[in-house]
Amino acid sequence: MSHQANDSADRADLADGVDGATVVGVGNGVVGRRGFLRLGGLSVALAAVVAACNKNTEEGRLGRIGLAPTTTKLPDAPVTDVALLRTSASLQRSLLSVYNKVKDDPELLDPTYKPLVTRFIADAEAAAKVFDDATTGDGGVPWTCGNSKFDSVLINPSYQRITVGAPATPEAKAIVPSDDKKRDILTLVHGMESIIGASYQQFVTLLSKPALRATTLAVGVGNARHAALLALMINTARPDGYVSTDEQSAAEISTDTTPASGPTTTGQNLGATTTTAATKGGGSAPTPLVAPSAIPATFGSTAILQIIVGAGDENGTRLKVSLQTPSLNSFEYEYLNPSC
Amino acid sequence: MEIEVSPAESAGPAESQREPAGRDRPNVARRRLLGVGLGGAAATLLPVIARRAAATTPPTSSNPAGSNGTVDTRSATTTAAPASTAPATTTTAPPKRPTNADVPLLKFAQDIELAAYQLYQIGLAAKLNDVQHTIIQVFSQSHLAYGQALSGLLGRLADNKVDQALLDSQTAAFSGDTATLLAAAGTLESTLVATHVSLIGKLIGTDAAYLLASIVTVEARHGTVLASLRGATALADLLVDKEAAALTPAGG
Repeated sequence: MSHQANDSADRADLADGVDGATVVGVGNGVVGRRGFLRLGGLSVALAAVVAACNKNTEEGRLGRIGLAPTTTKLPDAPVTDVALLRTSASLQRSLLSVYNKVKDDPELLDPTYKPLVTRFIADAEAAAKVFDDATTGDGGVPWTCGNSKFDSVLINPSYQRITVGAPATPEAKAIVPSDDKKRDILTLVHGMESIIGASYQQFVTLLSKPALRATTLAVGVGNARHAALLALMINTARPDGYVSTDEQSAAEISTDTTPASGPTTTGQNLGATTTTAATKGGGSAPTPLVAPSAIPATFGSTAILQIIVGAGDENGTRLKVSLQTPSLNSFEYEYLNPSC
Repeated sequence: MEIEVSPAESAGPAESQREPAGRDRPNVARRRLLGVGLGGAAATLLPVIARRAAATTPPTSSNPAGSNGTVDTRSATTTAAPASTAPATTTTAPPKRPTNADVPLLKFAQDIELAAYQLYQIGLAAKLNDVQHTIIQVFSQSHLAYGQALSGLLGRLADNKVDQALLDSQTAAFSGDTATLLAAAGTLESTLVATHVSLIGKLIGTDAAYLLASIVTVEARHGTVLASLRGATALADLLVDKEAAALTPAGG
């Protein structure tokens, strides 16, 4: 910056006492550093005001100054009939993958049940084709793989826990494979058949065309019957294997002759002990298993279905898996491409 | 070290020591010229600043694998090349409540459920063992519950009558021996499944479709239980391969 001496006495005074100080005048038409700083600050402030006062809020954007890094817009993912039909097919293929893995393995499936599994495989393949044809008929591309979310979150971890167990971690010891692999495989496929039937029941409200609802539910009827038969195989107690004890209680007719009276109920003893005494001799008892019923409830449920599989860990806790009907994070949207 | 002093900040010379006014004019003129120039530059840059202030980033869609590549299907947020740039199709959601056209279909569904309840009540008089008696009783109450649920959906439009044709055609079988009763019950459940699936294919309102769907999936299980109860072992019987024909409401 050029130095221009100023013959103002006051200006010279400012330099007094500061060794080596050079006064740069601004009164002679040249913008000094302070002026440039002011101009720069004014520009930045002006830009910020413009950014704030622009119509960004209306358009749902943040105001920015300067270049911003590029972002990738997420694809539109509407839940269309095609997406639901692809999801329906994916569920059948997830089921097929389990059946195909176990059908020839006597360690996982009692050979006497092989004809049953062979029949279930045929039914699942036929069902998948029904959905593939419906997808094509509705202008979509069929989904030819298992359901991505179900496989990764529910089925594979369950299968792994049954067949291999779990490796040791810094916090927990290793878990051995299931103490009864055949029992747990039946439990897993029973859960899958049940939740698939429930899924198709739920899709009835999501599909826009009545004809597609009927087609989907007709397949769901088959899965419901599969689940009922598997329940009868798992739970050989009668009548509990047929209908749940809750259903049995609800169906009991009261002998009360008073008209319009309902069945009497047993008062609940709130003071009763609800804790389970620890077993003697150390070690924890494994998580008790819940035996299914062919008719679990009066109306078909779309609620979470919990299955319990695998050997207990060091605390005796088995793996509890909550099976749910598909939702937004497990639909096979139209923009997705299958890869299997 | 430089000390910058501006005319506004400096003490300035005393008035008596100021140069004559005429001698300030060139400095003022230059200052004004400079200010105008800077102002013009700012005005020129203002639109540019505004554009950059307004824009986030232009939306881009990228598929790291290329336009024809596969994408990771394990994430629902995976990006992929959009199929087209056409605007999204808007659809009208179907109504929830039953429409006028749904009402006669739902009345028919209720009538046959109440007929099924009556038939099971007749069947309870048969010589049944404890397990059979429990099952027939549970199924009887279930069909009553279905009729009541349909009544709730229809509200004042429900007529709460029994389908006389179905009742009349099946009374003899349900009054028969245990084997005949169980076989007739299995056929009845299959008939109801086929009928309700057919009705779902006609209903417009989704509430009604959902109710019937929740009934159908259980009635389907009834068929498997009844087959097992009567001692069937063939998968074709247990899985009810031969579905009965659907009933149709009178007049359509």
